[in-house]
Amino acid sequence: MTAMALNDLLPAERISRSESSNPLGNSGDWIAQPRTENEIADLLRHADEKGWKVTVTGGGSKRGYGGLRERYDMMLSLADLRGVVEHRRGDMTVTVRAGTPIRELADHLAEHGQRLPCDPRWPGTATIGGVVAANETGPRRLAFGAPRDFVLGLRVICPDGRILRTGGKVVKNVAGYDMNKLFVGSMGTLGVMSEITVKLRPLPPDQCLMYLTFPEGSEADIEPFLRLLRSSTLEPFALEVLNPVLAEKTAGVNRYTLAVAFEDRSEAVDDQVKWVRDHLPEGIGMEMRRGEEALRCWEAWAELGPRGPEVPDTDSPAAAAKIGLRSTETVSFIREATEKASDRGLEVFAHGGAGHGIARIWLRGTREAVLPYLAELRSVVEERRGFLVADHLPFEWRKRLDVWGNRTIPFGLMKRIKDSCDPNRTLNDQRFVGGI
Amino acid sequence: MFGRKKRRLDPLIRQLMEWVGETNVLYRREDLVAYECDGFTLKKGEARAVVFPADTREVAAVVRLLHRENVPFIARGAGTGLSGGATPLGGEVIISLVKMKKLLRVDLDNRIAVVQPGFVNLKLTQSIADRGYYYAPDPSSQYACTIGGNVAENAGGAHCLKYGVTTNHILGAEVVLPDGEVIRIGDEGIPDMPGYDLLGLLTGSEGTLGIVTEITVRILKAPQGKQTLLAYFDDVEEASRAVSDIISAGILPAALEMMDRTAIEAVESANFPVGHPLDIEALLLVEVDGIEAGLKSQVEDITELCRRRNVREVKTARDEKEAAAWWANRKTGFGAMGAISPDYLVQDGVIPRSTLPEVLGKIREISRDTGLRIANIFHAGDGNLHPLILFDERKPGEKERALEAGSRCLKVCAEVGGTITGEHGVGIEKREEMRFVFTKEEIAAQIRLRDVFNPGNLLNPGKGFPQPGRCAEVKQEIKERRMAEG
Repeated sequence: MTAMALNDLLPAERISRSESSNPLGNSGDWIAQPRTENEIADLLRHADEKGWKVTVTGGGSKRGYGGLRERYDMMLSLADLRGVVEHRRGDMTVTVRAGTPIRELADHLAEHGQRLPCDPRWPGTATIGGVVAANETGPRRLAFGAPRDFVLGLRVICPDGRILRTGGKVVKNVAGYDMNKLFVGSMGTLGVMSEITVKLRPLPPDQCLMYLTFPEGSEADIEPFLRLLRSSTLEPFALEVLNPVLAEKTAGVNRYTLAVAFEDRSEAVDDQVKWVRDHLPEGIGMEMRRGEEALRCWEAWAELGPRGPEVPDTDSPAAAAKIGLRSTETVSFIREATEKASDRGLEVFAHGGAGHGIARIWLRGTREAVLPYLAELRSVVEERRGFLVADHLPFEWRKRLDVWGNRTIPFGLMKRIKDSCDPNRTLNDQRFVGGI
Repeated sequence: MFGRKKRRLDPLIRQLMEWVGETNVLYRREDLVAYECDGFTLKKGEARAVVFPADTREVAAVVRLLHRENVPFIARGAGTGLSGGATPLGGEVIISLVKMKKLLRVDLDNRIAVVQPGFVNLKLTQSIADRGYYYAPDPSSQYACTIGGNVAENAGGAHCLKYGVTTNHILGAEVVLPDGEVIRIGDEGIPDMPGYDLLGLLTGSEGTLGIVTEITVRILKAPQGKQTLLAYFDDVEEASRAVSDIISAGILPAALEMMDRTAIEAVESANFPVGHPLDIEALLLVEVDGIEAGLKSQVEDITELCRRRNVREVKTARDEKEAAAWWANRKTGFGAMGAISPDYLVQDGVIPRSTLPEVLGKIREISRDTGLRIANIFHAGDGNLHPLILFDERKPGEKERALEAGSRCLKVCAEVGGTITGEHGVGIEKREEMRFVFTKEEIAAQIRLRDVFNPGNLLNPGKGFPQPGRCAEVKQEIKERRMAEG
């Protein structure tokens, strides 16, 4: 592939030769920065015809997430495709370009008392396109749901340059197949999203975040209270179990900690806080952040894990994983993940949603130490019919540990979906499960 | 004698009987009549047979057989669908899932329940209500409709505004694909399983991608408190603006329903009258739920917002009994049309909430043009309209005018940036209207997806998409109708 060919499609200043290599892989020989949907369509059509392999990026925060190619012929950067297209405030929906960073969107919405119901990692870097492509969620998923729940419509460019609309701009829609679901969470392997329409929520009148610290940190210590809380009529926005090192970073206490959040009218927040106080067993520490303070805690939380754009430490690179479990298994998993790491001389940061079953861990270490640890943890999780996806690993490591795990899934059907949408395997080749 | 009779049977029927037992196959014409349509009654067709499998193994066996014999087939639940999704076009074998109606497992700690597809929606809530839990999607037909059918249609209901539609509550499924292969997706109710979102694609596919034989759903804790308000307006536009005001104020009601004057006349003449004044132009039924302590101020805010829109009267339900009566009055609204009109056709467009006054005005125009009364009962908070077009099938031409009025209502919805169906599905009814919202290419992309799951198009053929030979078909239909009318 040559710059000449690209020059016909984009002005020269928006085409660049990429850096020699990146330990996270997923690089492109050329980086193209389209500003319009038609430019994307032209680039893709051209690539598809020539048999080039294309990867797509936004803020680059997921560069270490999946992918068995160190390099693609072209990296399509959507960083210049940003901004709000249409914010229908009265309808509580917004249409936004895919390359818009989450924080930029959140700031715009906040001016109107609204928000995206999503608290993903690294909101300053991560773009709405990337968050949707990875179906990324944060601790408040318990109340927010996931991108698959709030995406209403998309504009998608197919590998052959066709531009399709999926879904619509209204909050209820069953016309035709729910084609949004094809692209949400598909890691950019089926099409390139250019515009995304999402359902919004009002900003909460009040909020609080309570850190409850448990001296033992055992299931016997935490579970009874958790069960009481789960079977109550309280409406927590988050119910996260933190291991001691993470609790130290966020709450300043080196103990197993339960983070409980409420967002509602002040009276309702007060009422729930009171319930927690009244039911808290003896000997359990409690710290509370209210209003702005709680908000700042969440902001800090979102910046904790490793992310793509940082140049990784080559001796002791970072690794991260997302784990899915039944929510009742969260406490035992967080404890097991912590203990198994310590057995191997590793220090792991871990938290998990005791109401939604999605947990996250991250750590630093050598390949020889980290990969067997992740494999061991995965076998524990898969035995319980859950999954472990290593969503941030150096490229070399990804060749040695299947990022997506061993769960038997209806892979034949997925392969046929890929073949149908991207027969030449132009887009994000080998980025997804089973080498799709 | 029995033997001889059997030998004369269609060999396919005999083979079906071998799999599910003789008593679980219907094939005589008189037995098939009940299956010639679903809740959309304007189009009917004759099935070749109806089978009642008892479990996944039997469903898979029947599907494999039909796939091998190249016979089209349809999965059917309670038949309450409103767009003809379960209606045979002619010659299909209907796989009825009503005998697979068990509640298999409830796990309150993890807030999931596992049901068979024939399990009735409302029964799930009834089974767990004593422990303070419920299943959120609540279509008006919930006393009869099955969760399998809800998955096929991505059913909605009055409480979608806050809690979402069926797709937001389905966590796993066992599915028989159109060639008989059985797959499981997210079976422990664990979200985000690696891979494409097959579950999301299946939900709302109107029974054209696969047959669900087991479903894992999310259940919710019943809210601590609930308040229900009724607001009576002398002006439809003021009522519409009040809806937008409530949402814009950052209040997220569990439900926000509206009825217009014609609809009120009908519900007050039907089985569940509650004494709504008959001279108002619109009413809003609003429910807020959540932490008890936060409800009082929400009720006050809603009341104040309605006052600013010149509401005639706002009242809060005194107790659960009164709220339940208001809801029964609303939920039986479609059927209530029978009290004021021999026939009615219900439509299901969705619009951006803010265009409500404009669209209601256009629907009034359509009513004037076609000379048919149109009642409006709808989920105003979602912008999901249900224009009910009243007609008399015995009067020549009225049925056609009703269909035309329905189609025009959908066109209006599409033109303001909305869609042609919010919860009832495309089915047979809205196949052509798909063109109001999708280009030829976008429809082709959807058909390509269907081909991935259902390559021979044997599962529920002819549904959901515009028909290529539409012109010829319409002519044929008109010819048939004339012949029938003699």
